[in-house]
Amino acid sequence: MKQYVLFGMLFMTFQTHSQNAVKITFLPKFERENLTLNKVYYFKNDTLNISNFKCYISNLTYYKNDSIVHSSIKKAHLIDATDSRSFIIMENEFFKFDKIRFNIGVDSLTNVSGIFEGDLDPANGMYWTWQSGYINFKLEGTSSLCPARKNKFYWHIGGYSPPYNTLRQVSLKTNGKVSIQLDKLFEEIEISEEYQIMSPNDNAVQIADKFVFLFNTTR
Amino acid sequence: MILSFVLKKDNLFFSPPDYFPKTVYNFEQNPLDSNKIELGRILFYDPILSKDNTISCASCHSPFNAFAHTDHDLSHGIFDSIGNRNAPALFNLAWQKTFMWDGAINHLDMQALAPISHPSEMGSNINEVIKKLNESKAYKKLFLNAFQDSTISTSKILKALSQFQLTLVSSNTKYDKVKMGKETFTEQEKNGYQLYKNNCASCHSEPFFSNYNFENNGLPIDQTLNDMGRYVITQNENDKRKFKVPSLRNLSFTYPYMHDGRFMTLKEVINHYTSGIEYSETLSLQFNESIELSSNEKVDLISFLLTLNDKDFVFNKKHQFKKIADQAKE
Ligand code: HEC
Ligand code: HEC
Repeated sequence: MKQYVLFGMLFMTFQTHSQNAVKITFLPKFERENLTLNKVYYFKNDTLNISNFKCYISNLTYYKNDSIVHSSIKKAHLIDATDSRSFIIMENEFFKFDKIRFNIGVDSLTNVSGIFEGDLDPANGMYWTWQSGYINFKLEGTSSLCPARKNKFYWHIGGYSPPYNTLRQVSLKTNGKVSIQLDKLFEEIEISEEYQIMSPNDNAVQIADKFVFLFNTTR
Repeated sequence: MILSFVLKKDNLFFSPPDYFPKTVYNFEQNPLDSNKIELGRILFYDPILSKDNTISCASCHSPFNAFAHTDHDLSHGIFDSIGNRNAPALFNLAWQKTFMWDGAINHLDMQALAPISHPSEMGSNINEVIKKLNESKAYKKLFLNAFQDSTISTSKILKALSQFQLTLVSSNTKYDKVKMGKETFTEQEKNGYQLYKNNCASCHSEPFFSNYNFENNGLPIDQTLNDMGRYVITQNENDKRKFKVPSLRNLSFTYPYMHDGRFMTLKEVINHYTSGIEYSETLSLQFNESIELSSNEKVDLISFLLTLNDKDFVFNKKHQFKKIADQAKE
């Protein structure tokens, strides 16, 4: 009997510290496929490609039956389409959850608190140098509908203070797999008009308002 | 015991007079340390921070000009490109809420990213800078001494630059000595002080001679630049033509004046306030009534402004050029 208990305890420790540690996967997608950078997509009446996609996920909180069971220790996590390891957030702990809540972007307190390391290092290219503030969501590429030079579009969505606050919160029922459905942005946004957004302004806020629709539970 | 030691150590680098308020900068996040300050000082003077190794921070912020720039009205950067604003003086930065003429930067630590990345200033980027510094044995040693870790990172570079700049405290002017009871004003300076209090103090408030807020002091727009100041950042109509109030300390060293360096002398500045104010929607209310000063009063006001020069600060050897090689040999 004693042996069983001991075995059971060992097994539990093993489990919580490896296989069962909670992780959330954020998978950037374009229509049904996983996003491939620089691939040509034929989408509606547009021919487009995405050359760069990065976004911050912050203040990730886990819920079970609508009460908080865990808050991620990592303040802000950078998802970068060039590095699939960045799609996963690990918690080093096991717990049960049925819902998560997180922010897309970096909160205002972090934005005014000086320099940070790791995912928040400005060297990651997600910080505006000429005007303080993190870029919450960055998508770049070309689109045949875009009138700019070489059809290039730049959506650098940031801004932490009203009226140009672009931080958005998402709540999702999920088992841990979340897809970021980037094609939806092209459905919602008139790329022939909004193709160069590189500072906090009305257009940035309008695009930020669409973010919540991109994040879905993968079935 | 430990606490008193720490305080004493800090005081060596940073000991503002007691009539200076609490700092805005949070020193707990970046406690001053002599090795970090020295590293910041060396970086400040090293053109390695620019793309073609020609421009250092000090190229535009010279110690002998209270860290402003006096040759040009608009600052010059790499490849001789001309920026669109006059380089401001650098001192008492620990008390500033925002940085740049339009307050574009919200924290001193983040400021250096702007000139390093600006195409018409240093034209580089932080990754390039980290790479170049990593190739230098001398720098690796300096980072190791300062941070007990030789990995060179954005945060270490920025924190060291902040440390040096935080030690740039101007608090030893005649005005300060009068304030501490060590000297007295002449009659003329006393008159000037009163005129300053009546006409200028609401924006250029003591003891920094700035409230560091954004105001429109009635400068006619320079059509070639069309600089809207704070509006560029906030897009708020009420912020059009507003600029951050500059300090009046060290004016003898920091000409030309205003965000675009349009005035060479204090006389021109005073004449602007008495007869050059241009009305616009956002003009600061103080100018609803015009400022009237006789020619004697103008002289008195200027004589007071000159008591705000801080020679000890401007000629402080600890703030001056230090070469990387000097340090490496030590
Ligand atoms: C090419 C000239 C140039 C160079 C090089 C330069 N600066 Fe500046 N600096 C300026 C100008 C111009 C401004 C004002 C910019 C504005 O208002 O948009 C400024 C503003 C500042 C401010 C804000 C001061 C205040 O009161 O708001 C600080 C701090 C500063 N610079 C530090 C530095 C540091 C540190 C470096 C080196 C990494 C540097 N500068 C390099 C021209 C320069
Ligand atoms: C309503 C606020 C306000 C008042 C009152 C005011 N100023 Fe200013 N002052 C400013 C602002 C804002 C600037 C910067 C304007 C710019 O560059 O666009 C400035 C700039 C200056 C400068 C240039 C400093 C530099 O380093 O470039 C001097 C000198 C100056 N003021 C002196 C005075 C004097 C003397 C008085 C009183 C007669 C006065 N000011 C009253 C707001 C004010």
